[in-house]
Amino acid sequence: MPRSSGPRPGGTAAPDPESTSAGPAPTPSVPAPPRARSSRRANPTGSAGSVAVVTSVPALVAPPLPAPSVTVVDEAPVPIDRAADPNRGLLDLLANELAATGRRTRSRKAELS
Amino acid sequence: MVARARADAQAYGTLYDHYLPRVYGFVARRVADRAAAEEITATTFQRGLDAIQAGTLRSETIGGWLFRVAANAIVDRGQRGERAIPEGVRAADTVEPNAVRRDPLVDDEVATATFLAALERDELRRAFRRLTEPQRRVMILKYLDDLTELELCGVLGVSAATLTVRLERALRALNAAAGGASIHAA
Repeated sequence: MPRSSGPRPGGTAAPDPESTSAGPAPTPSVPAPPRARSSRRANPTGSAGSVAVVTSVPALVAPPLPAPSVTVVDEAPVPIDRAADPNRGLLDLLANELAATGRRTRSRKAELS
Repeated sequence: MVARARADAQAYGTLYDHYLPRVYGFVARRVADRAAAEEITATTFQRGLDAIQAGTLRSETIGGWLFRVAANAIVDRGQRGERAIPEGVRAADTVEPNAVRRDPLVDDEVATATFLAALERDELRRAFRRLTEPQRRVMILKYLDDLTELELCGVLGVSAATLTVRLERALRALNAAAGGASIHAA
């Protein structure tokens, strides 16, 4: 397979000066930078009949991601509908118990001080 | 009232009378030494007066602000006890630059222990220990310290909506950890 005389991805000339054929370039081992190459850049002399060197360029647009399976939760607080909560009664009892505990503790502390 | 207190010492006296028992109680539940609790309370109100005179306090935030200052003073005293710090210098100002600064209200072990000891049911006590630190903190401030919603927002630095959600989640977590159906009124 002939070597390419076109510019390498890094912009340097090919090391083999005897090679003049400008066939299709092999796929470079180093990924090309993500930019399109025009035929003018590939053939700087601009002479007629020259064949543009086409290098494989990675796709600029990534394929669409699959739909996320996890719902992203926003930082902002989500209001809680306690009226629709089947545990509402239990939670109210628990809150009352905690409040009563707090009252007892405060009054006991006040008696001591 | 805060605006009046800026120019009127008597108005500040009214604020002082209103908040003194609650701020002192807040401190006394965290500091065992009575003299230290009184000193911290006095420091808190002195800073309150300074802030009012400087015009940096508003009426709706003074409650939360005072509890926040008291909490900072408690931590400051704890840090002062660990290192030799000259009088008149805040312990927080002497912390090494690379040192991890603790959130003042994380140091609520004494208040939490007091509240746990007062709970009558063992399963609730065990469940309370399984809550996260922020969940325990908001519960202690609400149920033990009896802070109002506005005061809680000021102390924790959150909006009313965030506070509501945080409280509700803490309550649900406690209920779940305690086994849910075993809850009954005390």
